[in-house]
Amino acid sequence: MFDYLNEHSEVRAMRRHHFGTAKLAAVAVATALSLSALTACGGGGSGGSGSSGALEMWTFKQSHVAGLQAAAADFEKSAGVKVKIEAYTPDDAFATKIQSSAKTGDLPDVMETHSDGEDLGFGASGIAAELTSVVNDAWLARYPETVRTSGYVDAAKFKESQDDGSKMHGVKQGARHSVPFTIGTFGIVYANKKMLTDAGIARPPATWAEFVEALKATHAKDAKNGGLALGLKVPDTGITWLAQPLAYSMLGRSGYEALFGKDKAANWSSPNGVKVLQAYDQVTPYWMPGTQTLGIDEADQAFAQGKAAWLVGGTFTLAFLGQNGMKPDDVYAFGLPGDAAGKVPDPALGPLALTSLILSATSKQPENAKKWMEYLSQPEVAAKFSKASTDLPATELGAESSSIVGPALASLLDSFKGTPEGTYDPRRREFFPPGYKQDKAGAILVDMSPLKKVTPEQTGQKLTELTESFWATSQ
Amino acid sequence: MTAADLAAPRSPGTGATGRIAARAIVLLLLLGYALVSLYPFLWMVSAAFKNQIEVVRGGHLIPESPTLDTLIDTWNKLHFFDYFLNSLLVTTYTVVLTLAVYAAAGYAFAVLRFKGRTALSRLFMALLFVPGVTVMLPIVILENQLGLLGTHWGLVLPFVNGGAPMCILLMTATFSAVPAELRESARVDGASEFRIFAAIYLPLAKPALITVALLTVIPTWNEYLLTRVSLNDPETYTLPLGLQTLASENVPQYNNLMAGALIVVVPVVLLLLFLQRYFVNGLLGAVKG
Amino acid sequence: MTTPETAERRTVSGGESRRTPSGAPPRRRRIRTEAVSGYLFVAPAVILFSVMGLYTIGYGFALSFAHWNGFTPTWKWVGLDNYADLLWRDPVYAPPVQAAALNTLWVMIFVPLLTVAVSFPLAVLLNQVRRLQGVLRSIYFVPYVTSGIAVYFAWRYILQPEGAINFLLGTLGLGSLQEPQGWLGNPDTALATLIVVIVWGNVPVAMLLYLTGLQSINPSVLEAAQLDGAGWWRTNVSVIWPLLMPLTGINVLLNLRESLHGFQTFLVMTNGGPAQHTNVLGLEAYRLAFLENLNPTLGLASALGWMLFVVAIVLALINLRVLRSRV
Repeated sequence: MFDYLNEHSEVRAMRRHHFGTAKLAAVAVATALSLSALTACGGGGSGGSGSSGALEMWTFKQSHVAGLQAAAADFEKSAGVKVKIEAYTPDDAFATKIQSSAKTGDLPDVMETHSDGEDLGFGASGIAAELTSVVNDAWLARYPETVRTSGYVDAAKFKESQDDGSKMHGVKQGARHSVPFTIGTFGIVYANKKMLTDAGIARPPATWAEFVEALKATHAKDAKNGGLALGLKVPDTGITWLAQPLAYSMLGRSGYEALFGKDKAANWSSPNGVKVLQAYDQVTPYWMPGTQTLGIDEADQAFAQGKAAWLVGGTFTLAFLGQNGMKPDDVYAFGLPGDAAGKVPDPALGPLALTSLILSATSKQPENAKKWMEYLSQPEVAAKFSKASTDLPATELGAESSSIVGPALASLLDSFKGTPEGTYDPRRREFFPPGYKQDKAGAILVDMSPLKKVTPEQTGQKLTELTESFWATSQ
Repeated sequence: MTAADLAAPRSPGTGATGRIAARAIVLLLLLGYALVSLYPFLWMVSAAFKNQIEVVRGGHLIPESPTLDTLIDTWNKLHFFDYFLNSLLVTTYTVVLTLAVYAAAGYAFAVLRFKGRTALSRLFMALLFVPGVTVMLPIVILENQLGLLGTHWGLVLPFVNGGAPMCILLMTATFSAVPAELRESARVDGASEFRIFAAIYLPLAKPALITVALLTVIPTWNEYLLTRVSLNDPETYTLPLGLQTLASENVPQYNNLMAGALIVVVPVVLLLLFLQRYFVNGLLGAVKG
Repeated sequence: MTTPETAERRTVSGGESRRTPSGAPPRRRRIRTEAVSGYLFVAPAVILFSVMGLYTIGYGFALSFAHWNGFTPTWKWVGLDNYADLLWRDPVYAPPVQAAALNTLWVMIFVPLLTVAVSFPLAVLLNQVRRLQGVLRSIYFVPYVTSGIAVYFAWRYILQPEGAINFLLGTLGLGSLQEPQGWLGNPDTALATLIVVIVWGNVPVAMLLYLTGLQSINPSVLEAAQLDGAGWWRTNVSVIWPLLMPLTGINVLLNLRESLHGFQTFLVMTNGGPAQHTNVLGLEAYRLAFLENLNPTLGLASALGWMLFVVAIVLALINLRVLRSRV
């Protein structure tokens, strides 16, 4: 045993120095200190806006970066202010980025966020500045009337915000925390022209019944690749993009809104509600296999790859299809066909603000930041941005819009045109129970179609139970 | 006679042929499970060498026209080298800190007598039962307040802390097995506690230290949940997060996705191949301790 | 960075230290200095644990009694509301938690059961071969070292409708067993499929624990069994299995813990879908904590996390009790 000890060279070396145990304290303290030192140096943070004189802007849309950078270059020429564009994706990373930066005081001057929710939430928590005094009528007039109130706390939104569970709890009535930046709508159907032709269909369906017939035809032609794709892994899509516009067409505005109400004679479990669900259930045999496991982008991609003949998406889907090698000429794109026997046989789809711009409350150069936000809303700037990003700007481009944005986007703009009563407007939500969550309703609907776990009647019952639960919590 | 010989299947009276048949069955079963273990990886590799058209079509394991383009393309386009360096950085910090902190703690628990030793070591063991999801939110909030959120240290510190139970267990078991006489005689010679630790105990514990390092490297390299909610700047992304970004942002074909997955997986598989005996020995130590 | 070693070296060169008097120091003093060194040696671990462990657990506990969305400057104290809301009271939050609890229960039953059922025989068989043992052991270990998002993507790839599993079934002439919606797309197979994937990932460590156990069994015990005329089967069932019972206990405990807390597989592979049929408690807590945008659900997330913690401790105690009474 002791031989071993003697052999050990380090032990021998150790004998030459005789240390007191008190030294140990120094070591341990040094270790502990080095730990806290690490903590401290990590906290320094890098970057930070304002110091260099350049404005900073963040977005969560990678596809907007190029267009924004081009606009920033022009802005620098005309106003002499540099703007740095930065994208942070995906959405939840963007949210934690803002959260952590708000704490460390590293927020950028301007941010592009989701409209009507996130923007007001940031307003309520003091991250987004109040803009009523800045955004004057001339500025607002550039937007179509339907999206002008986006970012503004009107009476309805204020009422919604007073619910304890609301994400915008704490906003002030009459405040504006954002201006719209891009608009669009859901419920746009895309169809593969070639597959439709192969199945003997010469033109896009004009009614829901024709749509179901056409689906049946492409599916009969090719059961594997002739179906309907939709990213049902995100369950909201089924209900908000398909079921709700369909319900609006069948029942009209008041009938549609009553689906979410407390009146059992008119809500989802009523004959009206079940009728809508039965109509929706007609597509059940024709879903693309496994569409319930795909995210929104994955479903779009499957369609672009020819794994489905049909796709339900939004105006923004067209750009994505293009990126995945599908030319606008290869597809039909049209608003979801209405029910010919319904109250609104040919519904238009109301545009809504999809992304908005907020001004950071801690911006060191708010004047320049406001100038930049105003600059982005100018028609010629918006048109250029629109072309670069294949996205629809909130700014109205006037009569020659179709020549500016190209024929593909223009046909999508057409789906916006309709009378107020004849337009399914996804922005309207005052008839929803407070705190209503679409994903929960969507999951119930997925259970019926495509999963076939429940009948339309049972689905109606469950949807009613869900809405009732939200009504109950709000009291 | 060893336990293995004795435990070999033996049907009485059937003699040599029976024994050979039994061996063949055993081998077949073992190879069968080897296939199960590797099955997803076979397809991962297969897809990584397929082109866009072939991977969309599905079909056979062996690519019809194998190509390196997919791998090269994925590697180049997606900053995987930067992600790789970030992963390496986070993993190295975590391992070094883990070894330093828990070798010391294990030494104290195994060798030194002090008040509250048992209570303290039990407290660390109880940490084993704290669900990650319970502390994840407070960690993010705390690091947000400290300005650590989004930095690599913001990952390293929770990772090191999370490894506490396993590492302390292993190190304590290892140091307990060192004969106390070694320390006694060194003490007689007047060696400080730290000298004894660094010059006698640490060198003896080398296999255990390697095991601890490996058991730290693997989960750290693959960590995704805390990383996903704390890192928000692409420049700081680690490989798993880079892979997630590839999947969610670019919506790649499966050949690109599998090529990315392969790049993430290869380093740890190599590590396993070179150091596999330490896994076994280390776990053996943990069980005995 | 300062490691203990470098710090020590610095003090060595830094100056002359107080010499310890030759010979053993007085006993009482020695005990005291030993205690001091003990505290110093555990100090880094304790400090880290206090901040990252105790503080965060305490913070989470406090937060579980409040409503907060992470952004607003103040918390709203609500007492036990979060717990009640999650468990039964809130018609919005309670039902998904109950459904997730049921799914979690299935996972907690089948993951430990199947892991033990696969890894024990595997270890016994592997212990009987010589030449291939090293290679096979490495191969069996691959699922463990790669467990993470990369391998889950690979699973998604082979489980999709036109994926390798359906392809394999077709090749084997078992086309009727194919899953046209994909194994994760059919709500009747999704949870079972995920359980299989988790077991696949957990088998390596469990198998290795059994293997090390097998190799440390005293041969004379087996010899005695052999002399008693016990065949291969009997030896394994009535001698080896009981001997390795403590390891089974550890394996069950580790897998129970994993099943209760783990949700990464679920998050990456199905995100609880289709239509919430594979939602589990860990995933629900994660969603409430991180995926609710600005909704004030952080308190609910903390409360759920805390309940998971308590269940884990109770399970560990039961497990220990059972093990002690058996062995």
